[in-house]
Amino acid sequence: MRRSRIILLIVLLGIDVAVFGWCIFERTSRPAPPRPPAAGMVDAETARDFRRLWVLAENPGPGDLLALGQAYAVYGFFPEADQCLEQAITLRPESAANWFWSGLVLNRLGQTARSTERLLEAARLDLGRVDECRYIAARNHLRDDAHQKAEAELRLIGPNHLAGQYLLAYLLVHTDRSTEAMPILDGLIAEHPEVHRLYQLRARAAEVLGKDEAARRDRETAERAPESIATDAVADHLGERSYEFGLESRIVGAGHLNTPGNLDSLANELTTILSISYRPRIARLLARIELRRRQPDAAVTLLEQLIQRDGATADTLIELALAMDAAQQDPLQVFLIFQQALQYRLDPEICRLMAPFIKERSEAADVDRIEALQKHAEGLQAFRANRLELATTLLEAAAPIAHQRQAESNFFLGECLWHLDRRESALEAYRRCLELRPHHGRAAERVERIDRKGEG
Amino acid sequence: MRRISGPDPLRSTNTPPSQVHRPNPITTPQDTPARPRSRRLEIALLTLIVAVPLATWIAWPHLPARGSPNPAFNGSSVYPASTLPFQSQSMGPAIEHPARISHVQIVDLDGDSHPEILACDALAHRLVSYKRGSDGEWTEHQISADMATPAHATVVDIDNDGDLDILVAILGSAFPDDSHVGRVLLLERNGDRYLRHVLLESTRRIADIQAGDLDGDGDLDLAVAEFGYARGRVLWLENLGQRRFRDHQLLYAPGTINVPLADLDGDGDLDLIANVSQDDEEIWGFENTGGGRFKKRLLHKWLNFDIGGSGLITSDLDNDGDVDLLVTVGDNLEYAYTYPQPYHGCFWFENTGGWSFTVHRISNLGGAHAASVTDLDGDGDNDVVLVSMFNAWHRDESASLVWLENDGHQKFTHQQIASEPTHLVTVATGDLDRDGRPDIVAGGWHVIPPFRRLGGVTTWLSGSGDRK
Repeated sequence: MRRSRIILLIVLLGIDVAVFGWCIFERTSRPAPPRPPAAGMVDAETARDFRRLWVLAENPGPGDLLALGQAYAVYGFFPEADQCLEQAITLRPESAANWFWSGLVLNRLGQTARSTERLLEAARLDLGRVDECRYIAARNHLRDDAHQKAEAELRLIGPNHLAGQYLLAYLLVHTDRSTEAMPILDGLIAEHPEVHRLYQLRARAAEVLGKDEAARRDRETAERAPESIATDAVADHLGERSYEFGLESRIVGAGHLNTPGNLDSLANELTTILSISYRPRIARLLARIELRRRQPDAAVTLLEQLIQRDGATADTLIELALAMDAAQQDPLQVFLIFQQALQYRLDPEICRLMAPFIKERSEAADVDRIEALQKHAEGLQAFRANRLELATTLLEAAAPIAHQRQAESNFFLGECLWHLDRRESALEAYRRCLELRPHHGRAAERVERIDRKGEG
Repeated sequence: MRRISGPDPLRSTNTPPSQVHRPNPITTPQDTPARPRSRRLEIALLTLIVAVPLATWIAWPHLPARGSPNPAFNGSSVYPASTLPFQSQSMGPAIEHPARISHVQIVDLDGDSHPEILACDALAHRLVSYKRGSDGEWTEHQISADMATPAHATVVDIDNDGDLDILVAILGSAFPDDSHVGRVLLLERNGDRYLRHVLLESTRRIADIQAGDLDGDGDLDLAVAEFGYARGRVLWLENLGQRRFRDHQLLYAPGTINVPLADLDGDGDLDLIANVSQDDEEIWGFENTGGGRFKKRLLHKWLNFDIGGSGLITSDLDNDGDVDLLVTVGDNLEYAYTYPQPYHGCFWFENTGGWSFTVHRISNLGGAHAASVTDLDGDGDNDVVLVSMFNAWHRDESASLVWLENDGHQKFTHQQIASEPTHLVTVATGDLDRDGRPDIVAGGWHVIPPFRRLGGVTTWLSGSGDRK
């Protein structure tokens, strides 16, 4: 009796061991997530974050493989991200995010057909992503030279997806169907009058249809429409997630320290981040913090290093000049740095900052000139933002003064006045521009056009 | 446990019932020593039966994954090693930080029959030349500094005074910027010095300038690519003398990279070609109809938004007496991290006359960014040298410099010359060491990681290998 019980128990144990052993074997045989890249491929902080995510993904909870795949993707390790997301889909096929991110990564790998499949599955699982998925799928079709498939996808996109509607109109214009594109573009411009690309595309369509005057008007309007369309959807999605991982995540964390009472901690943290991996924008931020901490010499050093490593820009030169000024360095040197910045970009802020130095050192006429140049630069900004009345006021102030861009002041004053329907005054401004710079092509073209048509 | 008092199914059924042992449910002297042993065994077995699933359950989340993941996709462009030997050398001081060389060319600047390398350094904002001494050592000379991101230099005697001047396309900013930061600069040679003149300002970012007599009046006019960012133009500048140029707009479109001049239709005057790559991916031709007038022709367009047009040069690739075009595609600077795409590479636009071109894809080099044409192997036909900005740089074997061997019938075979430095954007060929064989110079533009295998200006001098 007892023996039989023992035998029964042994049989049961055998079954137990076989079943659970098989389970363990199966479990350990599952594919390991791809290893983080070798040291030296990324900075130490990002490598640490990769390892942390890898350990989690080895025994993944919901979302762990997705997180590792996203981390790899936003740091450019697309083949490894693809492997992670394949595993994530196998484990959790019901997750729309797994399919969506797999679609993005395959897009980056140039695996367009697989990318499209994944995106459309993501769209099926998550109705909130439908338009975005279809838009990227359409871009995939275009990359395969399958514009008809792309068009079919775009026609399914809702009217509120601006990039999708724009791309549909673009396809129509570029496949000799400008007439069909026109009402779409008219509707989009009515809803989004500040978006320059819509005017540029409509100008192209008008030109194809032989409506040169309409094309010219749209191109002129495009010059004054300040907004754009976010058409790089995949790049945008990858960029949005970059701040969740690695050193970028630590940089975001440092941002939370940016309060008046925490400047020392913030400076220490930014210094550490710079020692881990040199990031120009962090060097600039640290220089600003050093100025707020009343450490201008440290700011000067940081900015000089930055310019040596990453090249000078108007912005870094302005900041260097301000730091040098705060450090009470030679005013002439500070002035020269401002002057260099002005060569890189005509910026009203630079003019404003230079004015006191000029007042101290130069004649009144030079002060007038720099102030006029400032008004000219402000006038151009207002013009590009389509604030024509303000631009006119500023340019009217700048135009009579003999500053280095006086001809341009007169030209853009003419442009403002023309668009404000003050045609006679516009013509005068164009002619003043040509007096100052007889070979100014655009001013000459405007005058010729007015003379030809008697529009003035 | 009720079965303890019942018949033992393991006993022989032949045993008479009288002899059947009736076990005492409490104890018997006979089985006393065996029972605790078997009981312990039973308990142990029972414990194991419970412990195995329990232990599995506890260990389950911590069980390591030992399986291999699916093989990783590999889209990098790798080719067989070049059969021609080259010796590479970096110009200038050792690279400490990621360089940004926007343009290189081989040109005899000072007219001494010793070619120099002229390079635009968009990081240090300067124009430099490298001259090779008789001892083979290179010396760097700074031609001009403080130039706000020079994109391209064109060497030409613009004022017809017998020496070579330099036109510099000033980008103003290496990064997207739609404001008026661009300029057309002239460095006028005056003895050993260059005098700087601004020929055109208040423009958006300028990417290219080319010089030629466009209106047939005997002086040199300019073609200008105003790349801009969201807005841009193609211009031609009419030379009015005394360094005055009147600008004429040929095309309103952002993203023009190159504006080479060539007689595309064989009618004796210079036409203009524009490589537009931003909102549109198009190649435009501007037929010179005389007197400074041009007829606009769309030569080719890609509907693939992402193709990433990166370069255009003119060359009679097939030696049939007309001008063909070579177009590289592979620029994906819109991404923080890039990857070579299957549609990247190089296209040969074979000129078939009457403004018609047959387009042949001659290379699939990922991230292709610039091309140069020369007879590299000395077999009498034109080969092509290509550089890559965006290959899969995480892999050490990915090609950055290749040449395409022409079989004489414009069928090309790729041969890999180098995998470092990476991120090459500009290439030129010429006989740098005056040994009668073409050499190669290329420039690196490192703005996207990984920042390994860095290089600024690098030369590959041809060796005495297997030439035909």
